[in-house]
Amino acid sequence: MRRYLLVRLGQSAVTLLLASMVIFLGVRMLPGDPALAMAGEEATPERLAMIRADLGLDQPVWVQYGRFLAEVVSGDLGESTRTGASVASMIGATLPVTLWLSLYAIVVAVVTGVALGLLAERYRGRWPEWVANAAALTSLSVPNFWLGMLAIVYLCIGLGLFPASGYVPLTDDPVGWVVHLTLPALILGTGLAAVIMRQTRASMIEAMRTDYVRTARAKGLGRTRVLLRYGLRNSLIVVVTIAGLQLGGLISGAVVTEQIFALPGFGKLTLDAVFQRDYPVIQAVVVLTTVGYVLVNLAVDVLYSVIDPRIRVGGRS
Amino acid sequence: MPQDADRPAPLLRVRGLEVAYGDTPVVRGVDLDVARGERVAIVGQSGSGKSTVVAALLRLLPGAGRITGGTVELDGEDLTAAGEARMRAVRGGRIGLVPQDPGTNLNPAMRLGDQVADALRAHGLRGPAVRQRVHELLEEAGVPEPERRAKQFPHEFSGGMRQRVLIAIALAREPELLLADEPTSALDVTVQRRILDHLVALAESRGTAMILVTHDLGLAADRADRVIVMLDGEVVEQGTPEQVLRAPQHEYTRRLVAAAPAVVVAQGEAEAPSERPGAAEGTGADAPSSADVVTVRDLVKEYRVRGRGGVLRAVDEVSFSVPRGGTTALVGESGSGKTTVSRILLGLEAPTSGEALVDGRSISGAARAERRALRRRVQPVFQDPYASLDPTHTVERVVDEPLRIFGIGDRESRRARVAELLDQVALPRDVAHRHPGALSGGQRQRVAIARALAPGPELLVLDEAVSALDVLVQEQILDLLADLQERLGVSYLFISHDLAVVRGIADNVVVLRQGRVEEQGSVDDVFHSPRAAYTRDLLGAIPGAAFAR
Repeated sequence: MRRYLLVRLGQSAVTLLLASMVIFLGVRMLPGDPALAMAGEEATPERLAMIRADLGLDQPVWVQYGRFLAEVVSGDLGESTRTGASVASMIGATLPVTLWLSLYAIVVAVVTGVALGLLAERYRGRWPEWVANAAALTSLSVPNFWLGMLAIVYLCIGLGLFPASGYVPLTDDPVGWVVHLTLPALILGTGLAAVIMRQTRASMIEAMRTDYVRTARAKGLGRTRVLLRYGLRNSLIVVVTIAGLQLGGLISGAVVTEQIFALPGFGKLTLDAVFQRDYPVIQAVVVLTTVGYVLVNLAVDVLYSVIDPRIRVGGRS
Repeated sequence: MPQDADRPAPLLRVRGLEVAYGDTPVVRGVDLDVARGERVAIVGQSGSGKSTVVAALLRLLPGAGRITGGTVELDGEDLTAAGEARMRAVRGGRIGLVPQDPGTNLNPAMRLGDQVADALRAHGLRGPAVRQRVHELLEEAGVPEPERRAKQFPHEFSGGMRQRVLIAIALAREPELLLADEPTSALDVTVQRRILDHLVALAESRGTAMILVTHDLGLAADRADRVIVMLDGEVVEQGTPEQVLRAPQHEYTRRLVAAAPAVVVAQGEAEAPSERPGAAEGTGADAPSSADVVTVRDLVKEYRVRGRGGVLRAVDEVSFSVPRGGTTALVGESGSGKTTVSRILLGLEAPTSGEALVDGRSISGAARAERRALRRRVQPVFQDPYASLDPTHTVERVVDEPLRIFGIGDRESRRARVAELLDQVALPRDVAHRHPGALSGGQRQRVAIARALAPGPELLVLDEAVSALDVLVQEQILDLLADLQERLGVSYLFISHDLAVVRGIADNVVVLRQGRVEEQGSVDDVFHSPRAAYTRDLLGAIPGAAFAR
């Protein structure tokens, strides 16, 4: 198990290194000149050259990359070219909002998705399956922003159940935190919940056809017990994979959701940075997203080995 | 509950059982009685409905399967009318199931102890007594160190050990009736015998009745008080093993008895010395001569074991030969190295040391062009007729492929050659335009043989080539192979775990165990006066051999 972890950690490091190169070059290739953006249209060539020298933009690309890498590793993400504020502090202020939102949404998605998937399999061919299927199809086909706007109109403004916008930090007011995040998390989680529901159902159907499920039933266990103890765990591998892959969608979904509910999160920060060609911020945002991806994948792999004992064998020393 | 002293009511009484999958009836009017403590065997080929009967008794039919008629009475209670809650009490509680494949019948993600414990908990047992009982059950089923092994997962167990766990599960609540559905057909013969002995002894000591479902008539005769023969969903014959084997009434049973390899062996032994029609008189395996098409000398193949830095000797100093136009059989259980030897001969693996020569030349040592020429002389036929033919190709394309690869002939002559090959394996010519999916298992294996014969090889490597087939089909393919050998003079390396089948086809036998040659010699020597204890073990493990004495 330890060896398995070490190997996966090493692979993650290599992935991150490669990703950092792609990110660095990608941002460099964006159209637009940050020096020009900072200095304004009327800046003299001397002024532009000074800014470039200041930012290190006059150096060879690989030197710039080396500096970028060293800074990222040491946690120095530079300053915003727009406001001059430290990028690290900007991210520190916005990241928790998005992390909580995504986490909340994932929990919502996995819990409702798996539960509905189980229900659909348990009552196959009866009304709970139809309802679950219809719900999944609806939430897959209705775009998030539309769902969000409907929710604001009816649930927030009409019924006054939730605040329509804003965010309260957890440490300030836990109740307010929950109240503000619940609706965005539900909206953000629905699409993923639908995918997980369908996947759970499909792999449950598969699992319930296996020989070991029949053997379990021949022991005299009831259908529900067999479903939970024999079917579910073997279906979870697929669910975890899908949830991990869909996390990317969740992050881009968060950008939209944060706009609708005016949450001061990472998504809003990203959007603003892109519009203002704020290179250091864009870079930092993308780097962090990549690190997030790689960590999630690592977690997925570790979860695999927890769910399926056979996967541990490969790394046993 | 006995009604009167003379005729106690049977434990299980099945009358007119009908089962259908969708609209297709698969079990038709089956009557079946099992008395307390009695052992009844149901024998039949695949598709005969024997496993469906078992599933119907437990009301665990897959998918669209359902009982469409008849009654299943357990102690007078009709199970076809019982509610689901009632069936839960019956399953495991009164009727236990030992399923077929130990590889797929245990949850891979759950500790074995928990899987046994579930069989107890399903019937209300709770608390620390459960774990205690799990260990007892595992111990009784023959799992050593039950405390430690209960915490392991299925992939840490061998097939035989897993089957023991499944037996522990079936017996957990001391059911009155045990349904054993091909309980050992996925295991090696010697393991098979030990497990069956154990299962029967456990059932006997508890007075448990048993229905033993099997495709193996010999095995049924060995283990059952009564044998029932099924064909196409109907019972065609039943009686004591004596009656069914010695005086079969139904035409199908007669063919089955005639084809049962074990019985043939036993009869052959009784009539010895046998006169088998066949090629070359047993060429001494220890004295390689030019009369041999294959010479294997001191062959060693080692594999590095990952993680441990160790080395596994899969093939250990193996020497034998295949006479030209004759057949040498490699016999052994899983892990004996027989398939590794065949892969080396086919040039798919290189030996660590020693040599495997075809016509005096080694495939693995040869240069590229020569290797190609040598490959043409050695062609394989594999076990699984379903997996070894590309389902998207027509039969013509399958058989034609080696001709194209070796650049033999033009389009016209190749087409004629394919037709000729299909004739040789006794397939109608219109099969050429069909896909493998439209063929039966036996027909597919004929296609595989035609493909192997296509480039005109000197040696066919038949790796368990008849093991997956039903007995009657198996016999037909063996006849075909003998016929082809006579007509074409092709030599066979016949690889099998089944000594009974080997008897009918081979000139020489090489018995392998854990990579080493335990014994080799002519078929008659090995079967009549086996020298190695292991060979005697293997021979003794052939089901039905003891019976026909």
